[in-house]
Amino acid sequence: MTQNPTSLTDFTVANREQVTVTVQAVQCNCLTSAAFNQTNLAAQRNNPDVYGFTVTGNPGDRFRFACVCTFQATDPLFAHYLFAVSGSNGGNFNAPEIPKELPEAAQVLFFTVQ
Amino acid sequence: MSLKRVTGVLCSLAVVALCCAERGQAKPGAAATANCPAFDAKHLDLDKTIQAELQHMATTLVLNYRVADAKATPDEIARNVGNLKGPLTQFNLALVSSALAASQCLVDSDGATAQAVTAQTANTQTGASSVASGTTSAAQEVGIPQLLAIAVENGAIADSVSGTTMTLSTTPYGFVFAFDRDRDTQERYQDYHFFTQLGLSASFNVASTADPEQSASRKAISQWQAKFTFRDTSPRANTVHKFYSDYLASATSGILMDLTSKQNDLADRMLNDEISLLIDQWSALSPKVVAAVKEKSQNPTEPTAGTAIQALTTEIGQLFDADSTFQSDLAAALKNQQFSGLALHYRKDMTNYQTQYKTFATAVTNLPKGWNGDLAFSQQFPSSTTTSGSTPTKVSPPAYLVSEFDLTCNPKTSDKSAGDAPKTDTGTGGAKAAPVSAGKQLVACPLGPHVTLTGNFSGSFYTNPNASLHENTYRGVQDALQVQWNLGGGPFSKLKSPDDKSQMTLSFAGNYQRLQENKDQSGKRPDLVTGSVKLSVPISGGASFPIALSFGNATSQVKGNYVVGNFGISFNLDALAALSKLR
Repeated sequence: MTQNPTSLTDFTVANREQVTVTVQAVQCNCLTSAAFNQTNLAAQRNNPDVYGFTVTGNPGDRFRFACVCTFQATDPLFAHYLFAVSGSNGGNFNAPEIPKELPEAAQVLFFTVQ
Repeated sequence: MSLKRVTGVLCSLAVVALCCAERGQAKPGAAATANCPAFDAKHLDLDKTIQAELQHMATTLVLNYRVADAKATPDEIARNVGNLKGPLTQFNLALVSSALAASQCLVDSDGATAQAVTAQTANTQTGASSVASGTTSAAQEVGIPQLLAIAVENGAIADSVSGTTMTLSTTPYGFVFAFDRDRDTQERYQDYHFFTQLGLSASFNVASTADPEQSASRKAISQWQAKFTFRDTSPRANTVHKFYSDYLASATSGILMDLTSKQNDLADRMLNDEISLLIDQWSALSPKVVAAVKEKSQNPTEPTAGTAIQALTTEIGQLFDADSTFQSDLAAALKNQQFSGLALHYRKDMTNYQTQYKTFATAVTNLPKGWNGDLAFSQQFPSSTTTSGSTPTKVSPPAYLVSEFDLTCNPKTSDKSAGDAPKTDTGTGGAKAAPVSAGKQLVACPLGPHVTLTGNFSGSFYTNPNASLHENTYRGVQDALQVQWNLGGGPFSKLKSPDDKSQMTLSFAGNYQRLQENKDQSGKRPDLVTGSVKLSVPISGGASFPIALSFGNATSQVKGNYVVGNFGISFNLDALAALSKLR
């Protein structure tokens, strides 16, 4: 797995590569849901929430992983979610964090088959 | 071309972004009201939408630059800025959704949880316990402040000496991680769970009517206490995670299906050219934006990140407005609005999510309510007093330890909507009906749905009993029972934020104390009975003003009936923090 250096949400993976996304909540409860390619994912473990999936496709195919993150009012201003992405063929990367300060609450990562 | 033009294009890109990341304004959790207008493309509030999106971009820039640090290399800065192509090329469903929803459709979900925090302050012990020389409490509440609470009180309930105390309360977890925020992960919260339910407090004698000099001595401390509550009722509790699974997880399914939809691929392909052009344009503009970020971040006159963000928002908008090539590309992208149907679908899923969020918020609001209890361990340092008579003698009662069990039942809010299936169109995901257990109380409170009942049961012990004062190791027992009613927002409601739901409360408490050392002693009673009427009036932002009238048959030192007034002021920073986050 490789990460696009100019777009930290874009990853290139090998066909049938297993991807693990770890979501760590900082200063807030870890309330996440995730899906890959229109299939809901069950967390393999919680706190941090770990989601796993396998990317299968033809070269050039692009798939989406989405994760909805929920914040609450009692979360401090700098509460945020951290994202770590790793592939079974090697490679550990950090995706952009989702801070409470921003008006967004979801992360979408893109995986393109090599 | 002005911002409006940019806005229109961004909306069309938002359609593209059916494909893409949700990075828009409508954050899941913002609950919709029943007065949302029907979708009409002619009435989109596009200016507001694009302003929000530009602000998002500026915020990202400032935050990333802050992370990158002023010492970041040009490559690092370029990498951060390059990463911002997301907001441009991945304009999202939420952007469209927020455009479709007029601003009045959205209520602040954060307000819902802030209301929950402020509402529970009435059941949080912020002042000294009933045996302190300066207190307004005849019975002790179970709730503990997570961050910090400060209470200054004057009076006495069961002590013979009226005094003024200042009480500080916190939890070890809240205190430690207030200074180490980045390590405060939910994983650590779970690891150190014990310390989130452990409340520590200390009361200090600010002034004493019996011995004014005492407050400057080592006996300035009136009491300290460690208290462990049985249930974690904070928004980071495991139970909240269960509420999320029960009420929200299924509703996120629809949103996730939209965000990862295959249809987005079609949108991607059709608008790929426009996107590529926009990326190029964005790359061309990046150096200017980088310079702007650098200037704003390094300008010491910028007081806050918010100011820098606002300035940068304007600057980015001006950059886009002034770039003719960028504008022509935007015009090309405007042609592609045929995917608005997908955006509408997304909005249905968002609306469904928002409906479910209200149920979730109700469950979180009710979390601190119901049955709860604690075990407390404290050490009391009674004030010295002077006996009356022909030869007044100064008496300094020894310190003693108290172990206490407290039990309380605060009726949960009745909310018929809790647990109901969502009434809205379910969109892609089709959320399931949520279970009802979280919104209901399994064992009702004994005094009905409107009365909070609290009981305290304690035993006290001398570590160094003084035989000449008839003291044994076993000092005595104390029981207290309190009933409390909520009386609404109180007379200062107009001063409070709409999200400040702190309640004025009226309570009656009875307190029985058996003091073995007073047995068979003239001028003293072994059985002390105290009654108290207390009114706690919330002022604003976590501050409240408790006032109490107490009456009893004797104090610990002196036999004889008495009536005494007690008053104070307390600040609960939990409530203040929750409210401040909304501003």
